Amino acid sequence: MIFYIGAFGLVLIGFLIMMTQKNVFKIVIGMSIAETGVHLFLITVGFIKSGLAPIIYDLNIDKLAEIKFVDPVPQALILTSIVIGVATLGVGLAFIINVVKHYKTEDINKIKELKW
Amino acid sequence: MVVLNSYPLYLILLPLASAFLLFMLNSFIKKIVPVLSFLVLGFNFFISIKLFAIVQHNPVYVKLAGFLPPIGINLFVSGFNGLFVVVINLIGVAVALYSLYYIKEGAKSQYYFLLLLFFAGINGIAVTGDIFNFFVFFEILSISAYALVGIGNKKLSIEAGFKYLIQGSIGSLLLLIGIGFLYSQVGTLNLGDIAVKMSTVDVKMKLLIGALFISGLGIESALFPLNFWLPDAHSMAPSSISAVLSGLAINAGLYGLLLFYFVIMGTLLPVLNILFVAGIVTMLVGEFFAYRQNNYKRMLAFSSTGQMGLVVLAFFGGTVSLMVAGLLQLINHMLSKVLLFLSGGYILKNRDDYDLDGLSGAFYKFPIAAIGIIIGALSLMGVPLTFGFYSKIKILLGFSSAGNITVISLILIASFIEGVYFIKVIQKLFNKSNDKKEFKIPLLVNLIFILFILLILILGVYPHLGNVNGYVKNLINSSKLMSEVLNVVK
Repeated sequence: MIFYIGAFGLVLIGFLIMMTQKNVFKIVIGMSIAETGVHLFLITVGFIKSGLAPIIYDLNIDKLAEIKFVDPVPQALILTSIVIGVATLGVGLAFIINVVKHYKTEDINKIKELKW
Repeated sequence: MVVLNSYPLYLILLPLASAFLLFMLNSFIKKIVPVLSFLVLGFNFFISIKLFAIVQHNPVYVKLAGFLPPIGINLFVSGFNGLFVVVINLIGVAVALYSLYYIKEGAKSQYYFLLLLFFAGINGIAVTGDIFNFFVFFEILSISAYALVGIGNKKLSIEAGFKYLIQGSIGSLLLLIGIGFLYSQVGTLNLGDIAVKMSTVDVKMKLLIGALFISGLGIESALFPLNFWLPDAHSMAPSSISAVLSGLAINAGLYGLLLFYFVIMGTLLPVLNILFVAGIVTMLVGEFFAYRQNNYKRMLAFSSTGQMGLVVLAFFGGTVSLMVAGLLQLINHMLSKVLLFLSGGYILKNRDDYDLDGLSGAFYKFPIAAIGIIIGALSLMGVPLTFGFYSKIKILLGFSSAGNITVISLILIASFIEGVYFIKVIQKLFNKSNDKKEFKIPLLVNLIFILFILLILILGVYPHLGNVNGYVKNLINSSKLMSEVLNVVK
């Protein structure tokens, strides 16, 4: 349970930062924090208390079926997801460099030449 | 019966591998990178047609790395995604050919790298049979789309790209949380397996997952009120990219919604109603804001929102005939909007503001491009002899047989507004202007316009896209079809 609270706490903190902060850097960092929360959530989904790492080193152990293993799939998923997150973060930071170059400001409220 | 076939794999691998290969070899083969990219996408189109011929009879699946489903990733193509893949790759070839002439300066090698990556992503979305794999391809598509919007490195395009990135990444995060909840309930990622196990899931949990998926995918498919990024991104990107974003990227979001609704949710009424209402509101808001625009590409971007609303409305209208009409309208929108963006974009290519005034007198200077704009606009309005007439009348007939007069009148109001602003554009084409003709449109670019014009006109007179009813039935039964993959393996 504590992990779920932590995971959604992180997601909420991240989204809150994205909504309230004015600095473009902080917005991208908020995005990154929310992403970490999602990763923690995915890990928690597959976690079993006092479960072992899902590696069978000896097929002849007694009562193999009774041993509790942690689900390895979410761990594989977040590896992919972390890579995607880094790519998004990279593109975001590249955008920030150019935003600051063009607008000479980091304040998101001053970056609004486009209107509906 | 599901058959094993590896064509879907080529559709993804070819653009993905050549994107990185061409980028690495860029310094040696700088001159021919554009041509090679065009050839890759052309070959993809060829494969997609062959695949389409196969899926007419049997759905196709691919098991990757020797893992048997439901373990491991599998690809799955039925008639419905087969049609989708053909249209995707047709647009891909057209855009690649157009880019040969349109992208003359700036970050050329990066442009083709991202374009190929984009097509790897969208082909992957269309053929995948695994929910997490769907997310990965969705991210490949989104990240390359963010970068493509900002590739011109002009002030406004950077701003539009940054906003798109922020909102798009929120959408992806919500989608990922949804996938997490889904996995915690069913313990599998294979769509066929999910479809089987979903019946045991609690309705409240289903609604939570539904809310996360709709808000995540709704951002990409530009459902109101999640579409604030769209007009900026679509209008500020280079015209070839606007065409791709408007014709393909938002449809990828819609495809995800359909997949999610029919496979994962197994048709749940509250979700249907939410999407139905979202469709109506999106349509009206989109058309209304499009009417207010003076900027050609911005107008088209808002019109995309409106059309997307109409398509969502038809798809989630509840009857099979409406879904067929929605599919036709979806394809009509893809073809017409690509034609409008490409032809108008070339006429306005020397102007930064894409103002409507730039189009004045275009009919006398660039007749074929101007006819392209006219035909595309007429088809979106639903004028007879174009494909749009056929699809729109089918939507209206579908709602009238359901006895839903309110929705019919709302669609007609939206069509009226659409008519007004598109007539404004067409009128501009015939205005007199004193501008000198500074450039000519190359023959091959004109050929693209002619191809799309002919497609829209021929489909308008002879509206046969194969067994459309069958494809829609494929979509409705996709949970059953996809779970067949599990049996074949045994």
